[in-house]
Amino acid sequence: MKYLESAAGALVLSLRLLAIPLPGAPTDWIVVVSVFWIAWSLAPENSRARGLLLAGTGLWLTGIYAWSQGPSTWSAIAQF
Amino acid sequence: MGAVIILGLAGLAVSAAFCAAASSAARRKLLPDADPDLALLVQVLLFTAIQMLLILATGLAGLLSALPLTLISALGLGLLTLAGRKGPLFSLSFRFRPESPRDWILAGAAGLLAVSLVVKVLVLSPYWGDALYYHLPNVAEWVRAKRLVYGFMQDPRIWFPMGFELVETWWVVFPGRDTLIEAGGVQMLVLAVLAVRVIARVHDLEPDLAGIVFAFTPALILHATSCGNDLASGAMVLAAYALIGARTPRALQAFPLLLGAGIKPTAIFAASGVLVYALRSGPAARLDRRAAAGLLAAGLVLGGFWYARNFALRGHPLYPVYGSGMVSGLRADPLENFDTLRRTLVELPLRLLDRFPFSTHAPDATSWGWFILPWGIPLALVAIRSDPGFRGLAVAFMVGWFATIALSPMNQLNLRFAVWFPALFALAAGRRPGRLVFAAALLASLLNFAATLAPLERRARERSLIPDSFPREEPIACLFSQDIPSYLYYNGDFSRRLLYPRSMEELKSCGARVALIWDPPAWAPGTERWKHVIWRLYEIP
Repeated sequence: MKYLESAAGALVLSLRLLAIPLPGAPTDWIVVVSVFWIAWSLAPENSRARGLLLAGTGLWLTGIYAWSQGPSTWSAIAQF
Repeated sequence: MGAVIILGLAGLAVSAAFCAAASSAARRKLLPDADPDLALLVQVLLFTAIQMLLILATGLAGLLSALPLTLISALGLGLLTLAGRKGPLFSLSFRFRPESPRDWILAGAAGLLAVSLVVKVLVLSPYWGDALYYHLPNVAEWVRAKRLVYGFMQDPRIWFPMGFELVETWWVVFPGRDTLIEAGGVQMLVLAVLAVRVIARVHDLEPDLAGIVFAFTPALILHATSCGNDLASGAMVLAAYALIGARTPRALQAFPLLLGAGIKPTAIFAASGVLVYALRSGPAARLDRRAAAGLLAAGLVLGGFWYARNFALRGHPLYPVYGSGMVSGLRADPLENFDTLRRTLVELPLRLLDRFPFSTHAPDATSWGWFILPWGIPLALVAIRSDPGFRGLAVAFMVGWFATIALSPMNQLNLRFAVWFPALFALAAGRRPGRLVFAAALLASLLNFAATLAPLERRARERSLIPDSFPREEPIACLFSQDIPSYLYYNGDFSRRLLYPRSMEELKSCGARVALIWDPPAWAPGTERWKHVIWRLYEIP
């Protein structure tokens, strides 16, 4: 079952990599979420690895989001 | 003037007491043993319905002003007091008992948001496009005429269902000015958050964190004070999910959807997801036939009134989308509009990055904020994978979201039609959150809060105001071809009369000396040669 689940993630990842330039992959949130899904499916249940995966993915995606929304948020705070 | 406002506020308090007592009594009858969150949700829902019924009834009877409403409310309150002599007039079992530092932190966040919303209600004046164009002019005309009036301007969108405008009217008709008009939206945010809390309890998730994450979503914060009806419609959809999850009687489950139909048809589209959720949920509680019939009748009146009105006056219940003789881009054709869904899905990955400042319209963005993409999406995927109950909820949400987007017109702003959808990710945050998720949720909520303290779209309001030097109560004829933010010109106390002529003959006989030329209509050529008064105002020749 876990290999089937990770295969679904791999399919999404492959399709996404076909649609975007490869150097942009680390900053593409769909790629990051797909990798997260694959790794989560393969990691043991209730393991520390899963906690680290979630933390790493959350922080990585926060960075991606901050790159696009950060200036607007900062501007809104500064103007207030 | 001050005394009139104070008397109006006293009337508002009497009417609020009546609505609270009536909703409390009705809740005790419908759900005598509900847990605190569910009881409060049902009471706020019924409170809203009673507000709507009061305004609808007095609006139809020509009694839509502070004095008759206060007297009716006082009479109702007196009758409820007599009927409930042996029991409490109000019963609210909501208790605040923080047991850990986390509880205190979440309570502090909720308090911060509540204070900010109260300040915004008091400080902000309506500023958002659609509200100024065709929602709030209804409120202004109703309050000025002391009754419901229809079709007073050319913009056909004033014929849309106006259920939420009944709530907004309740907040302004007593003081006779629009200071509290945004309170209607805040009331809808409270309803939506209570619904999320109930759904969280049903699915064994942490209600406090889920509620806070949802309430701090920028789109929600901004919609609460925008005077638009998307949040009201979304709150009704979430209330329906919550009442189904809590296995309340079927009539009560249908009630918010009926109210939603009278607010915005997007609630009807989203009901497809609610139906999927209902099919998966367990058996509903029983309710005696009279109570169920009463509930359904009230829901049908509030939901169906606008469609019946349009059928009676315009020949089609769905006027102006259908039956207006024009090809409307708002038509909900599932086959034609399938492209809407496809294009939204194609654009969604980019829109989720929120490359622009958070706003109510959220063009080419989502305004879902700092938590949903980085944390909410991974957490939701994990929850869908491992929790069958959450999976069922997610399937229902997806069905409702697909239907709403597919049946709504394609534009860059369409995610607001399903402003309830981010609740799924907020609920995922409430699934046994660890310290990291809690900290991330809190930090993201604070960023969302700070970025939405001063709504961006309010700046557009200043550019559209009539200069102060123009006489405040001078009647104005509005000339426009498409739409006009005419609510701005009624004044906050609705003291200015606006006229909406449709021909030169009507313009010359309307009684106004000055015309506001927003964009000249085809029937008024040569307006640029009229004598200029100030800004966009011209003397009518």
